[in-house]
Amino acid sequence: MNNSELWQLSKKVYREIVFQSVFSFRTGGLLPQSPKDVGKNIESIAKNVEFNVVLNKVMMAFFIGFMSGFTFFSGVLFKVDRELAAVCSVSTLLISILFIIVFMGIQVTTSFVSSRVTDILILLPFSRKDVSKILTMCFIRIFDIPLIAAVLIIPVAYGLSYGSISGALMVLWSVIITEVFALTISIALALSFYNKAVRGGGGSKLGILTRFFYMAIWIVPMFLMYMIFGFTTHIAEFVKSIAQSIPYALAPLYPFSLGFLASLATFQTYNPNITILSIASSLIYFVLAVYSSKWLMEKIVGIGLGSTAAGARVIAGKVFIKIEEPWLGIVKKDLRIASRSPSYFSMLIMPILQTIILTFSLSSVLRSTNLNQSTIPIEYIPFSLLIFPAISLLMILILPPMLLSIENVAYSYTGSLPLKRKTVIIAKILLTSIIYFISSLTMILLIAVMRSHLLTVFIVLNGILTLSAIASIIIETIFVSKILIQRLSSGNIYFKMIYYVLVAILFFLITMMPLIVYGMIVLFTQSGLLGMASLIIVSTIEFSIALLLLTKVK
Amino acid sequence: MPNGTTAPPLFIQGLTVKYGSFVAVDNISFVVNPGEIYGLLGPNGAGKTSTLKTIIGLVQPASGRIEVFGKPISDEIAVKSMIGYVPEEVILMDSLTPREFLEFVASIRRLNADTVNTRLEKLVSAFQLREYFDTPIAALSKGNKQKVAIVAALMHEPRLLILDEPLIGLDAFSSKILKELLIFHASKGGAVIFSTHIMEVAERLCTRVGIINRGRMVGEGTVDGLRKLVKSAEGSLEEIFLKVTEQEAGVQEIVKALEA
Repeated sequence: MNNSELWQLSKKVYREIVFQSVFSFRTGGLLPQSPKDVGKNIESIAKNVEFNVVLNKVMMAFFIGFMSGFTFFSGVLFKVDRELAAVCSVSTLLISILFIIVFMGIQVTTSFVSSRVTDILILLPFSRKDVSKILTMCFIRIFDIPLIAAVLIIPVAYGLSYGSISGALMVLWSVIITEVFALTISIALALSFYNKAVRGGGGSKLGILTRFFYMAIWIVPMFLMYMIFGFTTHIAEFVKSIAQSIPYALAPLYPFSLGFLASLATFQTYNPNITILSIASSLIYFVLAVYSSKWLMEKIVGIGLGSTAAGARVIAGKVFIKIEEPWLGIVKKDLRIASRSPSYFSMLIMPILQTIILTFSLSSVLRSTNLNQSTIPIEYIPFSLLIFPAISLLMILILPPMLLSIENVAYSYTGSLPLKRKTVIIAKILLTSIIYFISSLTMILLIAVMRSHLLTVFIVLNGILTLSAIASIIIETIFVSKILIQRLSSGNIYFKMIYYVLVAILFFLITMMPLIVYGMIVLFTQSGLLGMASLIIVSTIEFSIALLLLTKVK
Repeated sequence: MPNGTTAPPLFIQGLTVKYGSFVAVDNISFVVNPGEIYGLLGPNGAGKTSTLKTIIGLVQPASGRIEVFGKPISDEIAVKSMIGYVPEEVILMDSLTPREFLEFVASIRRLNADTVNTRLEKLVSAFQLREYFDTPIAALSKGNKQKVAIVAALMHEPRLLILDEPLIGLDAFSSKILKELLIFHASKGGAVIFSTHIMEVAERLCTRVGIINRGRMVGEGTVDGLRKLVKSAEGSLEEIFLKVTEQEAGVQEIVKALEA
């Protein structure tokens, strides 16, 4: 079979892998329908899944384009000289590309590694070489659009910005090396995750810690990407100071050596020692990339031949089970499932990461805010302090529908259990609230470090808002469990994601209500005291209503 | 009408299940008595699984009455507490280990830790699951997944066992263990209803059988009673089954066509 035919075939296999990746929490939860409807439903899920994956890739490509434009043309690096600006911009972009691709691979590469689609391929009249080729093509398809976008956009943007073809070619070379590194890290993480965390990951404390460790490694790049992007100027200053104090320290380090090389090709005015160091280390990175790509190919062929799909047996401990209260049983089960699913785990951890990012933004907004000599009128301080925690809740409000949809995992069995709706709701509220409290605590800790003079006021105000936050979590969970769960049941969080977002926005209003009322009262009465009273009253009313609704659930 | 302590383990009257306009189960009625192993037989798509799923509450009936030990299935928690269920397609929580899955099930059922661990030890040994106890369910074979589902269904010593094709995927040893367990369960006054395609098993195991075809109950009773019904003194349950489902002639024709 020729390569073009194999490429076409790989599309079908790729679709299946993508489908499995988001449909891995396949339900038994497809609710009773006629066989025709079930077919339609699965078809619709498959289409949605495919659309979402393409959309994600296109968004990543746009992001790469925007990032390149921002870094090269925005003037963000004007504080340093042009040579150093080139080093900083290329290095920043290379490390961002590395993080983007690794982050992108979170879900699909795990499915790719654990996929059993090769079981079917091997039964068909393909040679093993063909199967491996199909798998390699599938792997390329996972990242195709962002990889191509990075290869095309970054060198062109560099060339246009610095007016150097040789520099642009050097950037192209650097991007290719970075992409190989990113793909290698992606597959290495997926293999480790699958082998150590999923396939071999029992319920021991060490097993759970290992899984969380792998998950954290996966999620952190996303966070670092933001930090790099948000602090490009600081990075440039940092690089400048390092370059001045220890001139040779950065030249051998990835990605700076590649950045130095691009700058050298553009300006040809560097210190000879730095030049030699950066050229030598870049060559080492190139050799490393060649070896990485060989390792990558070997692993992909190994996956093609089913070396990872075989089930491993874990040495079992004593046959003994711990029995908890039903609500705690659900919480533990949810955490266990989330700890083994990169997509669910990222949904749990994202609110906390988002809180950290928002706190940095809050901190810069409040830079000049002093309770005694404030540039913001004193009446508006509660609003300024609370708007960020309120926004951070938006991400948390995506959790209840996501957690409720986990209940459809294996529903064909769990549906036979004597499980009260109220128990499920309480368990989901508790888990969501725990994430909320961790986020809140993170914000408080960061404020204590960055804006300690506002700490007491923030704790008091945030405490009031917590009543509204918990109220919205309670009411949303009750609402979704009653009204929307059937719509959300087929598939998982990626199926009709729009429902999750719409639900989150709808219940976000409950959290915002005290702030809206506060804002209006202060606007009309100019009285901060009345505003504060309204804040407390509205939050308390919301919380009381939510508790009342919860007691009525059967 | 069944009620109180004299109520049969399972009472079904006029049950109809519809998926849109498609009638999967059409006005069937039967009773499973204490100490009985009731076999539900029928060709693929006859309505066996739909019937069992309706008892569990996974499918809503269009009409009819179902009671478990005198309690209507609308009394979900009470009914589900008395039932142990093994689904046809065993989809468990693949990312959990059997230990974690059984912990979840036992917690939901609020079982006593000492009692359940003693029973679990016996069940896990009987079904040779010990070595897989901490292996993620995703990595287990189909048969071992089936065993996990069976252990989960038996763990709380339910009064009524509902098993949908429970023997598919089981090895000979585990299959024998399960059959013996079902007989023991019935001998203690418990009740079992299970669907199967394996006629020999149904013939040897079941006190009574019900044969469903295209959603309708076309024959019900003991195997001997059914023999009389189809006027065959020596026919096996398979032959009786093919006769009452009007498939006997078709089989001969198809075999001839294939041989030709």
